[in-house]
Amino acid sequence: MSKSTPELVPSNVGLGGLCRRYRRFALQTNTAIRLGGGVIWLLVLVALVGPVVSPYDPTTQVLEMRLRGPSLAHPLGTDALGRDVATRLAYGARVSLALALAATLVRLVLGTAVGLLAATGGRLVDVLLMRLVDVQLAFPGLVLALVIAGVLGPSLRNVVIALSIVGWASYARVVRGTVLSIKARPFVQSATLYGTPWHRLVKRHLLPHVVNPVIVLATLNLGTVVLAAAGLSYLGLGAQPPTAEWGSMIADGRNYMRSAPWLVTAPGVAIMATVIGFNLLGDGLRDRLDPDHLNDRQRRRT
Amino acid sequence: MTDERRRTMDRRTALQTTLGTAALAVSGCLANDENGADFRIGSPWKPNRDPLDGGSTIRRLGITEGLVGVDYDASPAPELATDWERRSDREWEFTLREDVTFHDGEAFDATAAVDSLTRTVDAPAFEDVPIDAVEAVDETTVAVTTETPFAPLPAHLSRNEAVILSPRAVDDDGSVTETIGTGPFAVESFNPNTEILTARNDDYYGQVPALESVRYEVVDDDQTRRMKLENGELEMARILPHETVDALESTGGIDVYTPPVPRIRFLAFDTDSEPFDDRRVRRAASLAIDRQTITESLLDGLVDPAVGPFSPSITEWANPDLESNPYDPDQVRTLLDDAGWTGTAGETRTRDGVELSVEFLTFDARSLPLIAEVMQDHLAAVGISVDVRTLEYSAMIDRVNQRSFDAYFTSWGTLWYPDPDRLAELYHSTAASIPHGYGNDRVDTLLEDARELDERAARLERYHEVQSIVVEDAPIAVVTDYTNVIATADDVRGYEPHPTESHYGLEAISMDGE
Repeated sequence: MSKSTPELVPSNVGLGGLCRRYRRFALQTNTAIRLGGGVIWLLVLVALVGPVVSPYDPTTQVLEMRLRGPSLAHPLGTDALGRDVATRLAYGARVSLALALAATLVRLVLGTAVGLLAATGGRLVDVLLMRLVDVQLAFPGLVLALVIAGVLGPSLRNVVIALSIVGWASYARVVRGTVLSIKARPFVQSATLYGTPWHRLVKRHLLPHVVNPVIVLATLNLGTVVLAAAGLSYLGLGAQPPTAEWGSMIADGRNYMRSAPWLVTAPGVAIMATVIGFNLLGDGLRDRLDPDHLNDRQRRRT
Repeated sequence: MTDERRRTMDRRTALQTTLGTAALAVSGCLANDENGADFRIGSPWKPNRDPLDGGSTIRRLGITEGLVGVDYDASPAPELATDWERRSDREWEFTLREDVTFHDGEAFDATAAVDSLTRTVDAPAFEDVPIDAVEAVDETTVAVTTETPFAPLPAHLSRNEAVILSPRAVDDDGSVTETIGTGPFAVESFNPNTEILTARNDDYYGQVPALESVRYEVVDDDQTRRMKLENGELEMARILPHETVDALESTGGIDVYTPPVPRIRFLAFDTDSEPFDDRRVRRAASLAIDRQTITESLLDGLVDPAVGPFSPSITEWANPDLESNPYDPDQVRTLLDDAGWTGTAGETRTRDGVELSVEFLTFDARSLPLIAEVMQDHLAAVGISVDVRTLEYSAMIDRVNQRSFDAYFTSWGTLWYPDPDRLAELYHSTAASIPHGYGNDRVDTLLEDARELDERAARLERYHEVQSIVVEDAPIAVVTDYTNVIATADDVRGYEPHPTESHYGLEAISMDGE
């Protein structure tokens, strides 16, 4: 794999080429990918199937059944309003995963666009955009997200907006770096000399090479976004009642930490599993997709 | 070779880490000093030196006293004034207690009282109290003149802002440097926002306390307060969550008190904007709430459902004829149909194509958001769609003051001063501090009359009528009363919760085995 050096092959990297390459990767997974992927698939399964098979509604209150411990009827107990925690967890998985995907997608698109513009747009554009990125990276992300979500008012949509606005800078940086190194390659230069228009150059020669690092970054990012979204919801800036969301479930349950510990444990473990899952997957993908990257042990040996 | 070196490094690091941790642990144990007070209180409220800025804690601890106090029937009672007389509509005379000295040895007399009261009367807290002049008549008599006839004057003088400070406690620029009062306890050390240490005032004119020293500590977190009490680091933990009552009662060595306090949880409507500009819709929303279910389940049966602002168990100003749980879904449907909001069961009602959907604001405090969610459920059952939005308190107040709300759910002390004139702040068209925009001429007249009258029976009649009218008009929908949960170590004797929490009654408390 490491000998094939795919970035020197400019041709056949259209959609079909990409598909072929990924099929090859699918066969060459590693433990991290399998483990992380497994956890994530499980979560997706829970998010898709859980609400369908659960006999309960996530918002219907059964006040006489409040704060019951785990039992056969309620495997994860009930909350302060008598709602089934397991059901709410499954609905919460939908919200959390959708939110993480949406925010990451916006970050990715925005960051890639800015990075490409900076790398190909000329010196002034480059300087301006990269200083913007610097400013963005210098500011603590969660604090800025908190401010934005606070100003826009509490809602799930605003959490997506807040998290999208703060996270795109690292994508821009990675994309710009990669594009700059690709741009110096002979195949790009000859394409330029040949008079290839900008959009074709970007689409055919530059973008395919930034896909790998961006995918790795996005996967690693998903975990952070889940965590940040849960954090904002915990602070009351995200999902509003009665919506089930992991962060707000923890916030609701924290007053019952001693009398009903399952209320915070269940969503807490769910958040932890999601973050670990995405991180493992991201690590594994990096080992596969970024062959130039050396892990710590290899680096020490050289 | 590399591996070998790494292993030795690891061993050394491990040793260093162990030693470091051990040293930290030992110093941590040693630093755990004894704070030596007889009686330690943990509460979430932050104390302040200046009575004008959150003076409740220093009053409750028995450091400061006012001319007027509040007795266990929630009525004004003699404190530093032994007696008072309404000489005419606008003139009052207060006879002061003799042989009282401040904690700094200064004598308490009419001059000191007038100086301290003038500072209070000029402050924003007393802006709405129509006091014209405070004058010393002789050594032991203070005369107060009001701009209008004003029956609630003694009640206002019992407020925590109106306590009497020693002349030496106040700087030339009017700021309080030290809290020097006349109470049974004197300040030993004061860390604003964290703790107060007090010592017994042996020269106190009344019952000299059995406790020699009291420490008041701010413990923000409910669970921490409870744990500190259980571990013997506190003798009294105040304001605990309702759901801890059962667990605490079954814990050995702890006594639990659940006194009702004059406080209500209520929903305030914006009566100037749709849909709550219609009295029928407000009334419907109020009748759709099953208060009994809320108090029985969410509040563990410790709190009574309420529909009026006063609880009959606390004060006789409460109108006893109000039904406490007027839950009536059928009448709700009729009212909403009459108001033009129609729809099939299970769906949100509409009028002219507009959905009957509203937003309830509330803030993140104890049971408020939870109760709001239950009300959301109850209103959905009759076709009113509710969005519950939990904000931070100041953010909620901002939106409320900008009048950009449909309704907000909050809690409010109804006897902040022990006089039913407090109702004017709830319901009067111009004097209300709740921005509901409601005005009813009859209510205004009744409130204005009752404020001037002297005779208790005549006032009572008017305040009862006000309470009946506002239940029908529903500018606010009262939902529940309020109960404080206070737990003490079981060797604490003589604690009696005060109905308006104006003091902790520390002078009556003693510890067993001492």
